[in-house]
Amino acid sequence: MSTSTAYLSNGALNLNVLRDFCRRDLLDCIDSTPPGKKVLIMDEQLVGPLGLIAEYSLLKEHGVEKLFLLTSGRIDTEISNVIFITRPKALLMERIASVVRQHHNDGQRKDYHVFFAPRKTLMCERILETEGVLGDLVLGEYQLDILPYDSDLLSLEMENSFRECNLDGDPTSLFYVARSIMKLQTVYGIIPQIVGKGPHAKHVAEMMLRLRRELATSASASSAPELSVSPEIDTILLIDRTIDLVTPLCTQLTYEGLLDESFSIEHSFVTLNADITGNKDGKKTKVPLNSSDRIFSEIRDLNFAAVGPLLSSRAKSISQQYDERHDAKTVGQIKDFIGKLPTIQAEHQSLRIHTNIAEQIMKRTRDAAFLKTLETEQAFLCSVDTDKTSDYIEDLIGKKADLSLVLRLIALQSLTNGGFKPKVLDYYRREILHTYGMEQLVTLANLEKTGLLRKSDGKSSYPSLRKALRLVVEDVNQITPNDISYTFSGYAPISVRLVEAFARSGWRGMEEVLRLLPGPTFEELQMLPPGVQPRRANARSADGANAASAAGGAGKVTLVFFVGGCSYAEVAAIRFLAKQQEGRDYIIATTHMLTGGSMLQSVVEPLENRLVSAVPARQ
Amino acid sequence: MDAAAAYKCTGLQERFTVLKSAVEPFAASKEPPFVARAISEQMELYKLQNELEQVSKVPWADLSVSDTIYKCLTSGYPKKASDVQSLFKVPDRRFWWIKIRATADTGNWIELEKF
Repeated sequence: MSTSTAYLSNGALNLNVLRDFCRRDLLDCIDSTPPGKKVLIMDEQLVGPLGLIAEYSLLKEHGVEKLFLLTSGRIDTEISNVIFITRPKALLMERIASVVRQHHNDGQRKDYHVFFAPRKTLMCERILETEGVLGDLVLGEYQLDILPYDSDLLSLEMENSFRECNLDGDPTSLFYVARSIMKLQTVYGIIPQIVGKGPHAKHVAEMMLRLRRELATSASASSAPELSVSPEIDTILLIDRTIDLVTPLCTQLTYEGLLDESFSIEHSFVTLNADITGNKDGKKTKVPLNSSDRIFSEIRDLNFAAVGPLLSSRAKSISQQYDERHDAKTVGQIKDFIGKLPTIQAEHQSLRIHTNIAEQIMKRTRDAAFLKTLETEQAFLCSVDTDKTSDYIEDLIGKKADLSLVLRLIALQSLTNGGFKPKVLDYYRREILHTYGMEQLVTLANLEKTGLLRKSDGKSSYPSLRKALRLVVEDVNQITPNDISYTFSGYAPISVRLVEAFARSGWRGMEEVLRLLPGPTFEELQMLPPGVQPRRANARSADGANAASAAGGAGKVTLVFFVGGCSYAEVAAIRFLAKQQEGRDYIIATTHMLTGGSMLQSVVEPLENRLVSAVPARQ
Repeated sequence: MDAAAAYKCTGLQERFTVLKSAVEPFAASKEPPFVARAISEQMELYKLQNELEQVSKVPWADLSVSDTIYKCLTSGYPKKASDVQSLFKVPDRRFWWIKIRATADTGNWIELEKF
């Protein structure tokens, strides 16, 4: 394997093992087709995730001569072994059918294999059948679900999970969550303790326990690989996004959080214009964002206020390192310097990119509108004036500001106020319909269905929650933080406060707080198979991957799984906990990464409005 | 939802019919009258836009209430803008924001000065 993914093995769990597992699955799919040259036709949405798992050169070694995207155009190839990898979507089935028909019309006979990622559905089979191509295809599955983003971060890449679970009433993504946990248990051993909070989280826990029972009763139980692996993860903490809708609605103030909100990170890559990367040919570049980049890993989780000073001190030290060449007198010293040069240059390039990004973000954060938005958010979080219409929100509507910003603030106000009085609710709704058009009626209904906007029932749990979990911290230190609230400059995410409290004393003593949050609280124990020992501190010290935790003693690993998405600021807050808590490490998994903007965008109803006016538009 | 169905109609007349049928169950039910009122308002708005199209010979249909006021102000129907404001009970705060935008966008700096 190339060294490019070495960083995946630097965390509490060696995630390269998981990556290898996903790779093997992919290669098994490709190798299951007839030998010889192959073409791979990929669903566009899967290019990013698959890129995290296997590089092109590896596919080539397994006979893949050419890659195509599954778009609506023609696909012309001499090669007769055609492999599709696709999500189970109706539109994509039609495209597959049209490719097959196109070849047929050209008088070509080919072998077609279709691998569904992550699962074949009946609906897809039906569509292929009605399109009349089912007989020409061999169908299979590729269990593409959980992917390593970084040494401590996993994602299922299911951007629609929040909408599907909370609006469409489609729990399919929860099944994938349960199955992905099963996969993790195969690789890293049984997770003895399963705890969580919230309705969808509970659903996942039930499903994974059921899958485990089914596995245990099936004939192959004795050969199940998980049985021989001693558990590396102690606890899985399932956090349902619906128990904390407040956090994603607040503007993230860590570097990576702001980067995501401003430039949008996709599959741990960000696409940047040439003016930021300094790319000479003027093209956009995809820049990887992970811990293998030393500069980025130093600044990603800092409050943005601390980023500037750090970048400038790194700039000084790099320039000092360059200057060392003047001190190099002997051949040995020069050789030494040349040896260090690639590292210095890589850091120099990364420093340039992140300084440029930070400059762009700085422009945004100094803007009066940004500050006013922040101020409004913080007022709502402190429960100031949440019960009446906000002048600032009215002004935003009057200016016809971006609808998702308006909805984000209104939703935050509604959540911190425990819903609105009818008068306030109707006022906001009318203002929105009048300004953004009547078609937003459906969007408003969606917001109510997902709990982001609602009518008050007289009581609000937020103020008690704020006090009990110390959500608002007055004397926050942004530069050298001593509390997770640094991630939002004075607000601590509800989700991560729960993680923090659980690590301290379990659910015990938290009954009252947990009652304030929606959905069931649960705690289950899984029996270890006979003969398997709980992980010892020195179990992995042999590979030296995590000497610190081995030295720290217990080295317990908690997997925090966000069902319905999580934000980069929450990831930063959990990493902060990991640094603070002696002997406990965290791995974070999520259905997808989100920002307040993307969460709201997913519930905005895309309506096609094709009214033909009686009077034709004048050109 | 019927409102979504209404937007699938490309003709104004057609859309009118769907909206009308959408509003009936709301009016009859004990549900809060918000949605019913919103749909009735929208029908009023279509009527008004239809009139404006007759007069101006350019399309107005499907602009939101605010956008209709904005267009009134930027294409020389200031009186109509006030009519729309009172017909739809547009709060002053929003109306002034629209007026500021309209004045600025038409480059009427002298007028803008007066705000």
